[in-house]
Amino acid sequence: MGEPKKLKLMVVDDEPGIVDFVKKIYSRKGFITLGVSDGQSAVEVFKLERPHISLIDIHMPFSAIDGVETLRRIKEIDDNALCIMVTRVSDKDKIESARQLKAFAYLLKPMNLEELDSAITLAKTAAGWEGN
Amino acid sequence: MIMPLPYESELYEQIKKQKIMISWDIWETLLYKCLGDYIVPIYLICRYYLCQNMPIPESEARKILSCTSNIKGIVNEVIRIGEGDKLFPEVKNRITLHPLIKELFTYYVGNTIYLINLIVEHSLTESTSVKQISVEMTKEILDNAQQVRHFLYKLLKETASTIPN
Repeated sequence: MGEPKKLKLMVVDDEPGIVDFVKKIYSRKGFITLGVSDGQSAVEVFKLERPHISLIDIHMPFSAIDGVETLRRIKEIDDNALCIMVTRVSDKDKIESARQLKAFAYLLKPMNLEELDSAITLAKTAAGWEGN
Repeated sequence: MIMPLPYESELYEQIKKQKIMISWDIWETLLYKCLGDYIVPIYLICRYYLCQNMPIPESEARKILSCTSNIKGIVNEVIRIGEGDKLFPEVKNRITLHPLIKELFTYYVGNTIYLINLIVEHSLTESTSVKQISVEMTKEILDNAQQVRHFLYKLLKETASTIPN
């Protein structure tokens, strides 16, 4: 019998502390977690690893491309990619752009784990995931 | 801790040049409701347990989460000032927050509070029999709480129109 399949979650945020803790929390929940701190690396990791769910921060001042552009490039690779955007109340235009690019959901910072869990659970269901 | 915005000095320079101010009413709401009521308890809980060199027990950790949850509500309310959404009655119909202020506020408070939430939740879900926040993680939470305090003090210094006696 092979290893049970695990769901892959990619965390994209230019704050290393945030990437680190989201990875730790979801690894413990049984996910395979991938963390990157800039948009370009996220696109590369997406090409190679094809995560089931991507959690992408929109506002990344330390990244050459922001979260919306990262989403656009990921959608070019796979239009069905499930991307949850993390943003701020003040990013209204970017939220609208993400919606047009068919982001799966968006969460407003500062969110708690319950909100994050709930968005990820919805994405799992949308992916038809029965594992974990 | 959250990395400083790479273009932070330019933002403060623009605030200075354009003489962007925040009314004292709004400051009162930010400081007393955000900093005073919710950031300080986080700071005090961390300081207390660090002084004892003891982990923070679950009940106290839950208090930190309650504070961060209240701060989230305040962030959302404050950012909507002037946008016709529900507001604190005391700042209703007052000046709109300038986009540069929103940029700084949401970056520092949003990221820091999100990070504190993650650290606490990570600690409470760690697979040990006792749910608590280790001394090491407590130091991280304290650093983040202090970063928010310093940010708010700096913003106050740069933008408060008049500070009543």
